[in-house]
Amino acid sequence: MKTQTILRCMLLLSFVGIQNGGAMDFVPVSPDTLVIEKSMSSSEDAARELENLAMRLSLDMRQDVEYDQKHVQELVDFVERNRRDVAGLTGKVYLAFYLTIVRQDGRLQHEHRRELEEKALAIFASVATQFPNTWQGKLSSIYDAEVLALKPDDDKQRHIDRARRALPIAAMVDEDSSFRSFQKALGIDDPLELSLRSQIISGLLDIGDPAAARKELGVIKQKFPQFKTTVRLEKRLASFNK
Amino acid sequence: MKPAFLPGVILNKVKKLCLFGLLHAPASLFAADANVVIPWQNGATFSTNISLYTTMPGETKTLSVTPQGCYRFTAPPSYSGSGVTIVQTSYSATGAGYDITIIGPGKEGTATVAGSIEPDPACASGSGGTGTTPTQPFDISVLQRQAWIYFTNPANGTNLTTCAGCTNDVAVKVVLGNSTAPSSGTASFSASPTALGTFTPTSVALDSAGAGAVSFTSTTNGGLGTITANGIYLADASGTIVPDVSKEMVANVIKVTQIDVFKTNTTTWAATDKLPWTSVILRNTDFRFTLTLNNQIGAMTDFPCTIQARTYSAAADPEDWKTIPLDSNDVLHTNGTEIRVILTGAEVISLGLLAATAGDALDEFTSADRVANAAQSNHNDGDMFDNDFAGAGKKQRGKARDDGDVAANPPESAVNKEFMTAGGVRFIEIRAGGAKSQIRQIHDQADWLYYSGHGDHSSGRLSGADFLPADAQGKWNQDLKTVVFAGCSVLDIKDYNNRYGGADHTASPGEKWIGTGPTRFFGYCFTAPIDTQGGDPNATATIVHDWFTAGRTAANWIDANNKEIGYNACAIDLTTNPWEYRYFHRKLQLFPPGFTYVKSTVQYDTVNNKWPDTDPNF
Repeated sequence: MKTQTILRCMLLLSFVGIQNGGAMDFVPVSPDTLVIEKSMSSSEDAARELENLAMRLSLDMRQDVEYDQKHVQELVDFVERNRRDVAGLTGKVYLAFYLTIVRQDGRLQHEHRRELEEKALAIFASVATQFPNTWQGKLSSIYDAEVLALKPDDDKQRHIDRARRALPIAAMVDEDSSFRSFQKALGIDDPLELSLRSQIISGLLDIGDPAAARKELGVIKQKFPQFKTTVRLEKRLASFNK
Repeated sequence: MKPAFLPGVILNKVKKLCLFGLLHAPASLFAADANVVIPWQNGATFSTNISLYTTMPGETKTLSVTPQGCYRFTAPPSYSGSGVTIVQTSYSATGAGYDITIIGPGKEGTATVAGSIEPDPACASGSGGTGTTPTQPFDISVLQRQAWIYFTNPANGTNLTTCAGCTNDVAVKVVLGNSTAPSSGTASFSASPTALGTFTPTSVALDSAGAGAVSFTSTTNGGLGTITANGIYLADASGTIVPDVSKEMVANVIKVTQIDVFKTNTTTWAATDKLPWTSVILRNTDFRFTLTLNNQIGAMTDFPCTIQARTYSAAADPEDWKTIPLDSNDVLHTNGTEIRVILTGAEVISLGLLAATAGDALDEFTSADRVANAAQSNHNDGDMFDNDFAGAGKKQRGKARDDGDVAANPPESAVNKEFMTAGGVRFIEIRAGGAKSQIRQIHDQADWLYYSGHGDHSSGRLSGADFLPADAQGKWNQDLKTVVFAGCSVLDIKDYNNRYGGADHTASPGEKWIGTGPTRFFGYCFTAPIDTQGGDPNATATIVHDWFTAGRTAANWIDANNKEIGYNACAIDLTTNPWEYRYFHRKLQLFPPGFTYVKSTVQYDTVNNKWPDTDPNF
């Protein structure tokens, strides 16, 4: 099986050029240089700018996951320009999130992925530590090396356990309208709690515990009855019972 | 029977006229072997019978009857024949005698010569002129009994045209002048040059009918020469020895020096029209080839060799050669050394070289795997596909690898438009006259086709083979049921994952393959995994193997790809009602951060006759 487009090959060459250029640190990213002031204001313009930036990046990512210097630099610039604004804090979380996504770029070597992962975790940790009472801080607190390493084929029980541990935080951040806007900009429809419970159900089915999965579905149906994910999970469980 | 005495004349000077160009009797056949003294009396009349033996039917010979010494005929003698026709051709009153021409019917006859002789006055000083009675007034040359030999197989006057390395019966018959068979004799045979062939046996005793038959086996050298048959040790009914006879004929040992297969899409026979290995002879098209001969033949019907062809799919297949008769489609090229054969598509089938119907009951497979970048790609997936199917007892219908290699074992087709159009091939070869053609590919569509190579989303083109969905129309409806496109994006329908921008978003190449024939298409809706993804040289081979062992369904294909490298997999299943499109729905999630992939099955909208524009499941 082979990759497809010439465009893709051209990108790859460009990327190799970057790699051969030296350090993996394409764009200097460090929590130390992305300081957010404790006392923040809230600018609608900055929020709108971040929303537009996030939407554009998510559109780019929909095609394929690729590390893009320009995107990273845009995010870094945004955070530095808005270090006294809530949007700057959100942008910092988004930058870390973006790095966790682009580390999945298939062209990257293992050590480069690890480097991006470490930078993202450092940013999450600084936000969680410095702003523990914000949705940004709470969300950041659920990310650690184990979570970033979770993969579908990994230990299902561990995945279930980690998702369960994140449920209380998910329920809290879901209530924040600013978080919902953040999710919307990323094209994510489901509340975080629904996403977690959905993963728990999948994990339970995978380990052969449909009873527990049905119990979890009951919670979902009660809390998120209008979501397609709920309907799909119902169908899946019904199919599983057959 | 011995000839009667002929007083006062000498029968000599035999002349024969060959009516058959190849019939050369030795002069000794007609040589007199005895003189007989005839009592003579001046002025006497004479009348005697002569037994005459002619040779071949229609052959003529001339005898001179001349008084001996100084005597002459008093008047032209009279002649009558029985069984033979005698014509007086000349008469000399001066003692030169006369000639008679005997036209033989091919059998024994008698002639009566009658007349009188007298002293020849022109021979003034001769003793005859003085009336001296010669003691030996007449000599008569007694014609020896003659025989001739002719070929009965091949028929007399026909050249032997045979195929190099072949064995032919050769037979002769020896007949005496009186149409009887010799009482004994031997027929011996030889060829010139000796390299032309051998006889078994080289000589044979003539039977009671004077016939003898042997076998002639030509060597594989081919060539042009002669075969000589000799009748030896001949004797007539009375035991009298009859001189040897001999006969030659031309032997044309035909060797086919080359067999070339020609393209089907042209009617010309130039060197540039020869069919390369990488081409495929499609079902229902003409199969054209030429036989180049070492020697000229006069007509196509003279071609003595058997033309055979066979098709097969594996070297271990039993050889099943089918004989190809020459017919009105075929021509002998004007130089006489090239036969151009055209087998129509129907003839290919009627001869049994291909099954009568393309959709046979066999479960057949084929694969095409092109490596564009050796650093990232390999043939492991294509080979895995082949091995799994072969291991399950399925029948292989060719394998294509890169630009092809006819010398590989098994031969490898090229991954190109022709191979993909065929959707599976057998091998075909021809043999005749000691030559065998190179193998070529002939259409025999498989049930399962695996393609591994690049794909283009906008057109659905399998770029590794330069093959478009339109190229499959009307071609993939013979036997193909399931195709696997292990290449990027060509089976995408509606871009449910929103991974394309611009015109590509609505290109929906997967829909272009629907209707070409197969009812199941398995492949990818976005980038396909690299053969060596993650440093594993069997990354894609494992997917193929997992799919095969799971049962080879659409769901199995999705499940086999249900891992990081395979989330762009999709499957179009037209065996369900309504049709189904399976893929992994992709969406971004926060925990764990990244994209998540969920199996989704979209059903065809039979009300609006279209695939839904968005996935109803999400």
